[in-house]
Parts: sequence; C-alpha cells; structure tokens
Amino acid sequence: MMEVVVDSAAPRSERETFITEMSQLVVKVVESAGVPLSVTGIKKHLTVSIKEPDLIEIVEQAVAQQKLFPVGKFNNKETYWVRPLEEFAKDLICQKLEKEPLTAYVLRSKVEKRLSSYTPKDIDQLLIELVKSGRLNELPLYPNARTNLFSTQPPQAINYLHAPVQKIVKKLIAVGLSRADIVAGMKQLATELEESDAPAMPPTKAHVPAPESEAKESSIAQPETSSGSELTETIMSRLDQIDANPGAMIDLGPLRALNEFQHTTREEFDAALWELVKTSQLNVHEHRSVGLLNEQKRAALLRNAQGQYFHAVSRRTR
Amino acid sequence: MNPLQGIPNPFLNSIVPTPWAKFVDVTSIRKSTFETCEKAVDYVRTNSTSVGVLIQGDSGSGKTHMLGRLRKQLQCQDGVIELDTPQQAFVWIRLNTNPRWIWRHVQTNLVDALLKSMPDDLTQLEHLLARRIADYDNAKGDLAKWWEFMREDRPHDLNDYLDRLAGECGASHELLLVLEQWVRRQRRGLCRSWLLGESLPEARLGDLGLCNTPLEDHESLEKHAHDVVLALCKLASSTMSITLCFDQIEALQVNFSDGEGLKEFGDLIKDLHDATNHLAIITCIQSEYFADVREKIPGYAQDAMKSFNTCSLASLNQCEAAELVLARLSVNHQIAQARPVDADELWPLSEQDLKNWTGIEGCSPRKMINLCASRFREIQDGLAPPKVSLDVALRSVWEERQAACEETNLPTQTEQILADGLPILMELALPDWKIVDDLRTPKLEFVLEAPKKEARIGLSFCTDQNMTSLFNRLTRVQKRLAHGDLQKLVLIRDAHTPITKGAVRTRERIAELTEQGSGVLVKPTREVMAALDALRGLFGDAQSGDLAVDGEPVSPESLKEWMLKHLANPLRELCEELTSYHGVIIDPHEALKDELIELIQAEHVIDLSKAAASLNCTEDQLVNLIDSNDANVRLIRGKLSVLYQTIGS
Repeated sequence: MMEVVVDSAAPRSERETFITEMSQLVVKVVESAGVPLSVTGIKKHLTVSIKEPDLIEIVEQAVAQQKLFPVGKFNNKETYWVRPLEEFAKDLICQKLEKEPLTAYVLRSKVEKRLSSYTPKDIDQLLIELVKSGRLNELPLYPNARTNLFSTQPPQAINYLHAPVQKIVKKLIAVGLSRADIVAGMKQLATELEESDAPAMPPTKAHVPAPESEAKESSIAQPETSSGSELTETIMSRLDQIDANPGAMIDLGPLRALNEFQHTTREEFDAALWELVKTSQLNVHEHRSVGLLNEQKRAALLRNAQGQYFHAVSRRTR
Repeated sequence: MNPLQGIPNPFLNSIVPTPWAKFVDVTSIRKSTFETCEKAVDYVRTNSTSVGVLIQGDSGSGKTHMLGRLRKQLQCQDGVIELDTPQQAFVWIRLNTNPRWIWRHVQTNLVDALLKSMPDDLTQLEHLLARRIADYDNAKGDLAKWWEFMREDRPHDLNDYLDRLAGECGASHELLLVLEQWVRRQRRGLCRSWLLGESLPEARLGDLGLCNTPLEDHESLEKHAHDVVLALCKLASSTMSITLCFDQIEALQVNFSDGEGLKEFGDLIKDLHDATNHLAIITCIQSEYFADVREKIPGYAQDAMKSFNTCSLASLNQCEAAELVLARLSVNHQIAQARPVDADELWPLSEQDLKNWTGIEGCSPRKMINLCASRFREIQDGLAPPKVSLDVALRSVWEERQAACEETNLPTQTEQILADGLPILMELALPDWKIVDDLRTPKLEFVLEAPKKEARIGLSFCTDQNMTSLFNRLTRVQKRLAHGDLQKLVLIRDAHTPITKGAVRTRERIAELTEQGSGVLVKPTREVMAALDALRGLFGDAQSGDLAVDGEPVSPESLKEWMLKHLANPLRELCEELTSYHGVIIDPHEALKDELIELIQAEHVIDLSKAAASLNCTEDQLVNLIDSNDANVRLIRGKLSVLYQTIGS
C-alpha cells in the first residue's frame, strides 16, 4: 500500500489542497462502503495509507463542507455517512421494513444500535413522518393484534386472511368436513362477496379497509377545504407555466415545486389534484417501477388508496 | 342453460401487435389525439415542412392502436387512385434494435413498409416515385394507368425523370440503378434485398449492374443506411407525404441504461426532421420513460420530436369504457340474441363492473379489456377463471415466440439479432462479463471483458453473403488481432449461410485465424438464433410495457428473474462458446496499460484522478503501472498529480 504523507511544514495552501483532495476520496470511500464508517473503518477501506491525525482532519473538513455527516456512534466510535443523520435514519427504517412488515417495537429493536442518538420517541416520530410522506404504510390491525404494523408495501389481503382462515379450516377438518367441502364453501363466500351491492374498490385489488390514520390523511377521502377550489384553479392555470401545450404530460415534481404551492400542505395539494381528476379535468399517469426512482422523484409521486403511484398529470381531452 | 354457453369471448386479444393487425376501433375515444395526427399530416402537405408529433401514454393505453387507426384512415382504399388526389405512405418502425445499428434498422423497416402494395397493386414506393415524376410531366388522371404508360411507352423519358429525381433527393448512383430496375420490374427480388440493406453476393451485385465495392466497417454501413433512408424519405412530396411512426422507443434502452440509445434516436429524429420536407414523424413513448426522454434526449432533438404537437393518452373513464365494451360486444351478434329482454346493452357486464374498474383514476384500455374478458368467462362458466401464474404465462409466451421465430427468421436478420440479442443474453447469463467499446481500430462489433478484466474476447459478425466483403472483414479482424490485447476471437456466422467454394482466399483467412491464431468460428444453429430473437423480442416488449399477463404489464425485472431460471440450454451453450478461453491469462494490467497509452496519446497531459476515472481503475493501480516504467508515461507527484507522455515514445 502506498503511503501518502503530508508534510506539515509544507506551505499552508498546499496542505489545504491536499486535505481537500483527500476529503473527496474519503467521501467516495464511505459512499462505496454502503454503510456509515468510523475513522478506523475509513482507514481500512482506503487503498492508500494516511496517518490517523491527518485522516481525522480530512474527515472533519468533509463534515464542515457537508459532504459527510456524523450519524451517531456505532461500537463506541462516531460513524460518518454521505447523507444527514435524519435521512440516514429514514433510509435505514425503510430498508428494514422492505423485508417484512414490523411493529414499531420490533423495528426499534432492529435499528436502535445504529441510531444510538435517537430515543424510541424520536423513532416513532420518524415513522409518522415516513407514513405522511407516503414512503411507508401503516397497516390496519391484524385480527386479534393490538399493535399496528408498518411496511413499505400496501396492505395485502392474504396476510389478514391467512391465519384466521387456517384456524377455521383446522376446526372444520377436526369435526369431519372434507377439504373439498371447505373449498366449495370458500368459493361460495368469495362469489357472495363479489356480488355484494356496494363494492368499494375494483375487484382486482385487495380490498382492505384503510387504517384510521390513513383514512384521515387520505387525500381522496378528504373533504374539499374552503380554499380547495382556488387551489384547483391555480393548479390548472400554472400547468401552462410549465408547458402550455394542452396535450403535454407534466411531471408532478416541477408542479409541486412552483412558488405558489410552497405554503400548501402535501395533503391539500394532493386532494386538489384528485378533485381535478374526479371532475375529469386532469388525467394521472401511473408509475409502475417506483423502486427504480431516486428519493427526490419518489417524493413527488401521488398515491391513491390502492397503493398505486402516479408520476405525472395531463389535461384531459376527449 | 347459460345463454352465453358456446359464444366466443369477445374480449380476447387485448394487445394490438402492429398497426396492420385487425382490431375493434371506437373512433370517439382518443379523438383529439387522432385529430392532432391528422392535422400534422395536412400541415406537412400544405406547408412542405416535416413535423413531429409526440404521443405519450401509459402501458396498454393504446399507442399502437392509435397508429393502426391512423394507418386505416390515411390509406386510400380505392382501386383507382387519381394523380391529383393527396395520399400518404405509412411506415411503422418498432425500435427493438441495438442503438449502434439504428440507421440500418430504420432502413430495413422503411423499405419493408414502402414495398407494401396499395389497393391498385403498386407499392407505396412506386406511388411516391410516380407522383414526383408526374409533377415533372404535368400528368393527370389514373395513377396506375399513367405509370404503366410511362413504363411501357416512354421508358427513356422515365429514366431521364428518375435521373433528375435522384439528383434532387441526393440518391446515390447505386440507389438510382436499383430504383430504375424496380420501376422496370426487373430483378425485383435482388432490388428488394439491396434496398433492405442485405449483403449480396458479388454475382448478384453484378446482375444489378453494381460494382463489387463492399462497405468496409460499421460506421460506413451506418452512414450508407443513413443516406439511403434520407434519399427515400425525400421522395415524398406535397401530393404524397410519408407518415413515419416510431413505436417502442423504450426498447432501445434494454441494455443501454446510460441513455446512449435515446441519444442515438434523438439524433436520428433530428436528421429526418431537418433534412426532409414531407415527413410527419410520430413518436410513441410510454409515459413512465417521459423523464428519461427529457433527461437523455438532447433538447434540439426533443424540439424536433414535438415540433407540431404533444399528446397524452388518458386512461378511460366510465363512459369511454362503456363505449369500448359495447363495440366489442357488438362484434358478435350471438350475444345480442342471447341477451335477456330486460337486460341493458352492456349485458352480460354491468355498469357497476365498469364503475368499479375505472375508479377515479380511470383504467387503461388493455386492462379494461382483460377485466371484461375474465368477467365474461366467469359469467359463462359460473366460476372465476383460474388466475394464470406468471410462470405458466411466460413459459407459454416464450415457447410461442421461439417457435414463431424459428419459422420466420432469415439469415439476413442474423446481424440485427446478434447485435440486439447478445447484450441481453450476456447480462442474463454472465452478468459479471461486460460488453465494452472497442477502442482499437479496426473496430470489432463487440468486445467482451471477463470479470476483473482477466481477459478480452473479440466478436466479429461475419454474416456477409458477399465473399469479398467477408474477406475484407476478416482482413480487418486480422489487423485488429495484431494489437495483441484479445484472449480469443470469435467469428460468428449463421449456420445457414455457406462460404462459397470459390472463396478460396476467404477460407484461407478463416483457417489462419482459427487454426493458427486464437480465433474460433461459431455457427449458431437456427434454434439458437430463434431463441436469441425471441429473447430480444420479449425484453423489448417488457421494456415498452407491451408484455402483459392478465392485463398487467410484466416488468423487465420480473422477466429477467423468470428468464434466469428458464434460460434455454442452446443459449447457455452459446454463451459458453463465446466466453470460454484457453491459454495464458493475460496480465490484467496489460489491457489497462494499453488503455492508458491510448488515453495519453489523445490527451498528452492529464491529471491522475481524471485518468483513473476515465480508465475505470484506482489511482493506485495507475501509479503502480507507471512506476513499473513500462508504459512510456511519467507522473509528476504534487498537490495535483499529473500524467504526461514521455518525449519520443
């Protein structure tokens, strides 16, 4: 390994340049490691050898320039990451919940070692924010469960049906019913369910009632506020600012970013968009590969109660 | 008894594969988009300016359907066509190709479309020629009769006019000769092959009166295709313009996520738009790629692409969905007969079904038709149709596609299939291998790089039917090998394209390369080529949202996952044949050294970090290489370390 030595007697400007260049290298190293690193960890990942005091100075400069961020102690050593602590914490939570739905309690136990500076209350607050921003779903209670689950995925009907139905099936078999009888009964039930008068959602989608918290926040269900119609008018007129062509498709990102909407809450804005869709003034365009988008693009998406995401709108023409 | 028993489901077939396919159309849906396209065509005709229309829509929103409607509407259905009646040539090009072959792909598809017959049995190409020449001759009346008269009674005048026309269109002498013979109805098979851009044997070129001067390399072949395409597009006039539709442009991105594909396409659109006067260029894009288009296609090309207008295809609302359903139901009169007296027109479906399916956001036509199909079957059978698993559905599609490709593939398509299919296959079967640009000259089609740069394997597509062309290619390959950076050379030739007996020098050259050198000749069988073609077709469709199971599009990621488990053995064997190599494993630094020398020869002086970034290696690796004093490159260490080339090297 080549040792890079900084001559402390070297002219100040030369040393500063060295530190700056090395800090860029260190940022790259941390980024490519994929997890926050301590100074010792950075040293291990570097292909060149830098003395620890120099490395500390380099890391400090990267922190001062906001290219690295301290994200708390891990194994008693301060670790650094390329995104601020809060963003790191949110990414970590989403990463854990991507694998399986978890209760807040279990989730906390899984992230507390990495998020040493966060209290359980802080983590709960992050969860609320993530649900509000649409990155996470607070799933309705499982039968007989007392605590809600969180997930990056929308609720899946099968998860709710599986355990109770299995229980009933076991009981029915125990009293002498055949499997064929049970399956026939289930099919009959399914038919009755489909033929019931007021299906609230398309039959192709899992029909799981939205959790109370989500129902309150759902922009579709939200009644129009007094300023709602003004907002819808403003949205329609501002679409022209972005692209005057009536057939143009307009990304939601630039639309949300317009000055006029900076003091509008996300919920109000989304409710206004849905109002325009309902009244056939706007059309929404679905994005099916949300996982491939970066966070900024994902944050601009519009979401419906069925968990579909929409990335753009266009003015509706016949 | 169930009244629907035995009645065919009217909702099957939810995908319109090409604009020439038969489909049920409801003209009141998407009316404004259709009118925009019609206006663009009129504008081209009246203003003699090429324009672009960009159509955006979600997958299954009916983009190809819209083009089909346009084709039906624009094309004259009369057996007799008057010279002064405005007309359209319709061309549809699906961009399932490797972007580096894009002009050749466009040439093949443009010519294929222009050689389609009109109701009077003349081809679109003859109509384009006839109208231009009629302008010179101030002719009027029945186009077919006048054209016959010119061909039979005034052949010399016709030749003079063609000569003049070729000059105006910038057609090469070769193209003019081929067009003359096409008009005279001589050697049409050969003319067609030449126009399609196929490699023709020397004797056949001689039959056409063309010199045997085959094109040398990839770039000149692309340039030639570019010139032929522009010349043919310039045949359009104010009485007959060309509506040129590009579909599935997302398929260009299957393996080129860096945007190379979209950029190449942007340049192509810009060239067509600016160099011609009578093209209505319609580009269809899936709305999900809208952001990619904005980011990766240069602004000047985007302007050309939507110079006339942009349209978005909206989801169907309940009303439109009802129109669509009624149109489908009305196709089969048995349904009307079976309908109970008190049932409404939507029977056996209901308004509530449509309300549920369209919801607030609407529903794409494809999804709507699939939902209707399931519901119809459910009512017919009394049971919900079993859900087809993705695995079963993909297996069936894969088998169907392979069989279809095996039946229809021609050796002339081999190069396009290899160019487009191999990158997809490599990514699936050998994800650690990379296809890299060939930095040396003469360039090979592909260079495969082994993991950790342990080896490089060159691929040359020896698909030429013309033996002089093949010999020249092999000579270039031999020169290329002299660089000494390749572990192995693979010459690929279709098993059904023989090397003629008389091509002694060509055979000798192949022997030199394969018996004494590091080359191997791989001859993929018909089965392998069909599987590769099916593979690229499926991925192109998945990328464009046109591969659907139960109305839901199958994403390229899901397809990849499935394909990894079910990749056909012949394809795995092809990968093995291409990438297995023997002999000494080259020092990985050797390739890096060569790349460094090339870089320094181009840049003369470059800073270390930039050099490392452009060579995709670490700065340490470069420093070690330079310290070995073997690369005629020096390093000045300092706050900014700089590399430079030693004098005299």
